[in-house]
Amino acid sequence: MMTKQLQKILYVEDEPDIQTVAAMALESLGGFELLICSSGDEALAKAPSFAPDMILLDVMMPGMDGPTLLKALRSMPKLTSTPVVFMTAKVQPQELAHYRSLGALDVIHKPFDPMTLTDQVRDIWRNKGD
Amino acid sequence: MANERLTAQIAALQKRFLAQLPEKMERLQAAIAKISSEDRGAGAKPESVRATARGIAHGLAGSGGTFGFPQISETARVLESELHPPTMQDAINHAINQRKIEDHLTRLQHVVAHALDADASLIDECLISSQSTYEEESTAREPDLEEDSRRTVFLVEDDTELASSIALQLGHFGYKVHSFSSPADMRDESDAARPLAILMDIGFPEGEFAGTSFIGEKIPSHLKDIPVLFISARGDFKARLEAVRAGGSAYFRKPVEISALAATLDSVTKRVPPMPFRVLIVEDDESIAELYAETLRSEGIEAEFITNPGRICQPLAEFSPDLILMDLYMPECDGIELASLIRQQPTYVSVPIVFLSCETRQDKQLAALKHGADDFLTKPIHADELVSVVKSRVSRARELRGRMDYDGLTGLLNHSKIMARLEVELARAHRLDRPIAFAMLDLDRFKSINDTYGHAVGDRVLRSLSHLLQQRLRRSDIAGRYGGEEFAIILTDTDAAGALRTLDELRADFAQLNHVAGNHEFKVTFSCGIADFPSYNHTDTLSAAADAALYAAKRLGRNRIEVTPPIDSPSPANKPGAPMPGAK
Repeated sequence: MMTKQLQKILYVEDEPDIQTVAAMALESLGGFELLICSSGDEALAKAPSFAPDMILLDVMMPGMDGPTLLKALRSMPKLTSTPVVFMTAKVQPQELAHYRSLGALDVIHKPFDPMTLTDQVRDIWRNKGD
Repeated sequence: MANERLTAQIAALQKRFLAQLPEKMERLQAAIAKISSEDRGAGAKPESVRATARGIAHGLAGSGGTFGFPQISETARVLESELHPPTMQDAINHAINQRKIEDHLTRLQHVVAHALDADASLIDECLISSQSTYEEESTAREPDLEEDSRRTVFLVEDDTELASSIALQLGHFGYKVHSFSSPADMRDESDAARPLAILMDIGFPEGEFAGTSFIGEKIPSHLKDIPVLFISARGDFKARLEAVRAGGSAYFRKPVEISALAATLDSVTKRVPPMPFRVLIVEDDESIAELYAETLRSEGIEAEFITNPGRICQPLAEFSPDLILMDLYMPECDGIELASLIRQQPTYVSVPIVFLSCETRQDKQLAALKHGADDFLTKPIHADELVSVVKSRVSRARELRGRMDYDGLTGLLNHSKIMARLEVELARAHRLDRPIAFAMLDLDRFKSINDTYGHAVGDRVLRSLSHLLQQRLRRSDIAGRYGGEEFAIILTDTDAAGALRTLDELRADFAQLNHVAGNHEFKVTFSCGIADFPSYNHTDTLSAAADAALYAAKRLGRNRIEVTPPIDSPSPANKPGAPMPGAK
């Protein structure tokens, strides 16, 4: 079975400058269709109609944090099995296991390198297994 | 080629990151200072300042490396880990924790200082040149990426009252003014920063041409090659000639009209670069289209292409090209037919159309020109020639169009153009599901200004408001002159609340400006009404709602801004007996 193409990414991050860099990296370099949300609430409102193929979540955000948002997203019918990746500075093995147990597919280390972000995302997509 | 552009944009973001560091570090330091036990009694709970400090450190840890400063990330992360609530609350552990926090903070300060030093000359100007094309904004308005925060100019003026008045007024236009009372003072005291421009009086106690001779002959090397604007009470030929000989860029007679001064400052310091040219390419071969597009983009021209001529209507309306580059022979549609189709629309009667084709037969080329094309280029074409033809055609077309689309006095869009633009922006807002706000602005008691001071002065007031609008609004906002003393503003990606914030600041600043008429100085205010989409989703209802809010603002005392809420909520404009919207 052919792996579906990764086209639409939902990115949830509250810091505007990081949003801009990520948009450059994923939209212009990566060619993905990108929706950026600044908060959990905005993401919950817009995710269902955007129907992303993959979701990137910042872990620490004011208001709703990444793990809480993940739980809320998973309760939406269209998003129960959408791959979710956490963006976080913490990548100790036990923390990685913890995030996986919450339902994340993988983590991307922050601060990320804008030039390689797309590659990281594609690698994760390719290795997700179907 | 795309990568070079991105690298430049990332470099611009990096500078912005650096520019924000000092303020973040100050806040971090202040929060950490409050954590210590001595301060605990004085206000904020220790846990909340700890969380504040942790948040700032976390932000730096997560972003430093992305912007090219991995050391900032690492040092901040260590500090962040120490800022978690200590597991053991006893006094000894608390003291140890406190010391660690302070050590890590000091280390972070060193790393930050090091990063800033490396970019010191750039920080002074805080130049940000990144395009906002990729910026996705929430409805809380983000400041325009183009906004500079410390644009320094030197003012050399021995009349201290005048100097402080000019400094204050120019501050409203975004300039930071360093004043000196003589050329010698500027020479001696200014070795730190390099200003963007120098405002120089001509006459001083030491000599009637002390200013011009200083600039012409005695300028120190650290101030060379900076644009100089002369100001003087004199307007005679000799003084002006001296100014020209000294290499001045401009000459202003006192009393100085501040908005004219600010406009000249903008142009000599290249603050508001002209809008990039926009070219739409219609070419069925995608790789060729891409090649032309990239060639133009590498010269700073915005280029979009379509391979299917049938899809021309949307990009025509939304991208609004300055020039259309078109293949002559396309499978589905003849270039000549397409040109005629484009010219059917009144807006595009005058847009330059350039054919690009393998056709070498002169009679065919002439036929194409007869049908509405402005030029005919044969393939294969050299990149330089393409760029040069495009640039010269677009400049000329813009000049001509300027006379049709823009109000001659203020340089803003005229009435029909701004309303046409509102339709376009509203359609785009519908499609992208983003809010836009529409504001109607009217100068207060303008008739009495004209009656008291004359129409020439009234015109100057209109120009100074237009100038302030052009300066302070973002690139993506559009301002137009709606009527005699009425202006209309379209704020994209903004809701009514965001528009209110921006325009209220503008209102307050405009109210502070001194306008000059002979020996008189006076101030002027404006009233403003705002409505937004999606509260109102049609041009008619949106402009009527803004108009009603403007009327309310006038009724409620002027020099204020009112917002019309959506139809289904109670508002003065919706009550029966309220004035009919649109009755102006």
